[in-house]
Amino acid sequence: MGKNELDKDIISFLNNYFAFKEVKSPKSGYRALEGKVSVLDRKNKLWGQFEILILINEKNYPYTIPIVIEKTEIIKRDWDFHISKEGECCLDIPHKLLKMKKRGIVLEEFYREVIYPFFANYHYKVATDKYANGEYKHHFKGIAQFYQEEYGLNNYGNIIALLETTVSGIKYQPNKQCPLCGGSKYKKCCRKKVYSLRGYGLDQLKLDLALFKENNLKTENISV
Amino acid sequence: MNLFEDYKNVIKKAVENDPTKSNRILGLSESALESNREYLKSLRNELPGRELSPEMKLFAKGMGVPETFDYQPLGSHPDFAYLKGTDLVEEHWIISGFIDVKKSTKLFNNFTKATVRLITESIIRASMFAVNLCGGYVHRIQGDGLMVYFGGKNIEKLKAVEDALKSFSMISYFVKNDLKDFFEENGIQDIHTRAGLDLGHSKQVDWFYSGIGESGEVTTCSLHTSLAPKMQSNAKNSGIVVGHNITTQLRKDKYFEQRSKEIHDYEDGRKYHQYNFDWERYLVDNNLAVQNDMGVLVLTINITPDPNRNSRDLYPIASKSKPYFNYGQK
Repeated sequence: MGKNELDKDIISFLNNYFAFKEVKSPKSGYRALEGKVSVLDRKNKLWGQFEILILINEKNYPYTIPIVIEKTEIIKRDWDFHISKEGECCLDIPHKLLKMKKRGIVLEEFYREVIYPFFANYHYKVATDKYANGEYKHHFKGIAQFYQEEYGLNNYGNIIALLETTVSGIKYQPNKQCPLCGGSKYKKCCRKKVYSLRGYGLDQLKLDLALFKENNLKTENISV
Repeated sequence: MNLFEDYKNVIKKAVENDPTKSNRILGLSESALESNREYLKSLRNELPGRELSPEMKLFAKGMGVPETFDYQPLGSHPDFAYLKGTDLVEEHWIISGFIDVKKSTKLFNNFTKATVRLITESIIRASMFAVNLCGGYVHRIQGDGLMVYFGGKNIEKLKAVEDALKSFSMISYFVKNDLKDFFEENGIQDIHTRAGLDLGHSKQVDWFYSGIGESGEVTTCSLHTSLAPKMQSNAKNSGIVVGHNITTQLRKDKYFEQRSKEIHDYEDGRKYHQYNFDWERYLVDNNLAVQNDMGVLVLTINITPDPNRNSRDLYPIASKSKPYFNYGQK
């Protein structure tokens, strides 16, 4: 199923974005599209061009996140520009990408809404010294920032309780006081967050839980 | 960079100042018409002539052609002008092209004929610019259309084919990308170009003088000159249809899609085929256009950043992205 759908979407993509072509993939099990991204603003002023490689998992498509490699080395291989030494672009926080993956992507939409904006944002950062919509901090701090921005959670203890509930699948009485944060009814409080967190998948949540526990201990150690 | 900005601006101003809309109820008075005619007369001077705008000069430079055009007189291709008034005939290959704007008669329903005249002239002048930019020769103006030749004695056939395709692609771009939406906003639906191009090899083309005395033109007699307007009439909206001889010169199948019906039957078992030409892909592949996030084409010859860019205009696209870094750490 994945292959047919991917074939169709690749043909459609190549029929709309003429600066791309399919090439031999350097990664087994992946299809590769190579081409130029020309960053134009809303007044169609040109900001620059990048040569990129898009790798798409053939078997899992559309339930996959393409790997994007910047080949021209215009973007300095520096973590402040969210790119690996090999040119792999860190397009977004994994949680948001995982939600897209779970829902299933459409190649053209992913290019338009994720890949192209990443390169536009690079130029925005170079021109203004900041990203248009801010950026996530690196490593664990970025994860903590995500939980703060997405769920309004600052307290690691609360986050850990939420993650443990989600990971273990514990069910609480919906009409009783929220056992996780002490708020009013559970169904109107943290249950919504638990449902939302499930969208990121167990693997990511377990990873987050371990990170928060580790950093919570560090914080305690520091405060002691 | 907007190569056709000056032409588009004249059309825009002519439409915005057309007296028809504001006088729909009371009818057009002669004084309103007169005042508009005066306005259009001065507006006409804003159309680029032999002196090109800075954007046009930049484009011309990028294509390796002079920044000032020597527009040739119509009706006598300079390489064959010596045939004028004679009964001589010369066999020489040539590419014949026809392009015009369809549904343009709808313009008369919405605007005065003076406005339509300036719109038509702007499109014609923009098209003549694109033809001259690509080394072509305008043989005849037909209303809002052109008959054009590409090729001559000092140019290679393949180069002339490439020039013809570039030129007609640019004209198609101008009407599709710069004008169509603007006209639709002003109540004129579905304005588009249609074009046909074909190459006749030397054994297939006679150059001669057709007419009597001064009343004539140096022209071609060729099946392929005759097929070009037929292909034009077969083209879909904003489309360019080319003959088989064009495709065999370029030898790049990805641009050509054979149409189901041939354009000519030799009635000896042979058929001459016509092809839809993917001009948008051709412009991008030849570094004459780039595409924005939505895949919309923008003509450009230069890939260096636009000096007039403003981060405010980039924000709506850039703000969709919020990057994160986690490489090198689990």
